[in-house]
Amino acid sequence: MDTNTENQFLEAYDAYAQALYRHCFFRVYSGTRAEELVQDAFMKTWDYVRKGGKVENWRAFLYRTTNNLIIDHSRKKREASLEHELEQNPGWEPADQSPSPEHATMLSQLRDSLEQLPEEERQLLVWRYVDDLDPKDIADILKITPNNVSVRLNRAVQLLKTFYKEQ
Amino acid sequence: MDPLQEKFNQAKQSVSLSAERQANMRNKLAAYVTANPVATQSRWQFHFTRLTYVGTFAVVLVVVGASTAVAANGALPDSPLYMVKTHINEPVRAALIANEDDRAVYETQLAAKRVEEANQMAAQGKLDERTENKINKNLDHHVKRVENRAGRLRDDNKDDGNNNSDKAENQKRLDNAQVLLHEAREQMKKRDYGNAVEFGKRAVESTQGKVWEQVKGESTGGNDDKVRNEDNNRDRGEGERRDGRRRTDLQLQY
Repeated sequence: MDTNTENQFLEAYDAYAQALYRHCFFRVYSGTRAEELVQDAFMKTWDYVRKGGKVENWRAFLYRTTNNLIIDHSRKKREASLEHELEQNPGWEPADQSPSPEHATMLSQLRDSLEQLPEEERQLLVWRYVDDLDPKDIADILKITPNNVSVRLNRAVQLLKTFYKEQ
Repeated sequence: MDPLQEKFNQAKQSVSLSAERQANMRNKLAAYVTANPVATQSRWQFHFTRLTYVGTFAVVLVVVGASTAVAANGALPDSPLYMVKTHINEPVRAALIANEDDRAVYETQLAAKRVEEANQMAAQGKLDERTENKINKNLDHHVKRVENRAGRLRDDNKDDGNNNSDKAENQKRLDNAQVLLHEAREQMKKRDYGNAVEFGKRAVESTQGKVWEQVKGESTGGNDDKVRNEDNNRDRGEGERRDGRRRTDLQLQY
């Protein structure tokens, strides 16, 4: 049994699970779904590793895997009827905590503004402002240049501000 | 603070996975890992993988001819053997280097070699645009690989809390190497190949124990007084560090 790899994997879980959960939450607006996505991401990562795959940078790999799962989730969500979605996910509910009224308002406004954005812009904003990743980190995940990331991020910020102001 | 960052920070405060749920998920994953262990590569499989690369080189020697493969080592871009050098000899040699830091050092040496090739071609009046582009493309590939390894070391060091001094030292050397290689690239853009070669050499030196603290703004040639050789100043025996551990010397001769 390769205990070194197992230890590295579980250490990566301890280091990044919370951040990944937060990331998923701001992308899919559901605590339950966010939890499922985090678990799936780690399982997929383990499947990759146990078949001989090498993970040089656990954080980047996990974010990339999570991002792919979220994109798949978004596609499936679009196919489901809106009515069905509203029944299943009545609102933006954190898995564990009830936010204070001020935070609830903030969450609601932010959620509504984010929801108006295309998926790509939303993804960039969450990486930058929720995960505190800098353009170089994001570039590593997306495998594009940091300059490209900065340009797209700037565009996303302007768009978000527009929707936020309109509320 | 950026107002948008502030809003997100406030929103983030109510979003977290509880300790209980985090522990539950960890237990599930640990069970998953136990139930699906890493497939162990047997010894013969390991050797087979390495032998595949050696075998490839052997096939090249047979097909291309041993003397051809060896002759290719000194080929310049205008030679038909240049492709053998850059697309067969060098990649096969790189594949045989197991250690990733050593491989990054090798890539630094290859990058410096590309710069030297451009200089030689320019000196012979044979550096046309097509050749220049070919050299630059290969150079950029080597620099990218050095950058990637330095980036991964940086992340590993962050994760380790910068407690692994060997890794930290290697990262510093590769960081310096990539800065120097970028300078070499800049000099090549200005068609100052002599200066570019100097920066290429310094990039290779920086992976071998000398640490440059100030790279930007250096003038060309004869700046040995600016070189800070920490290892020499410590007056230490070969392979010894201040704390008595063996130094990880990225010295390779390829």
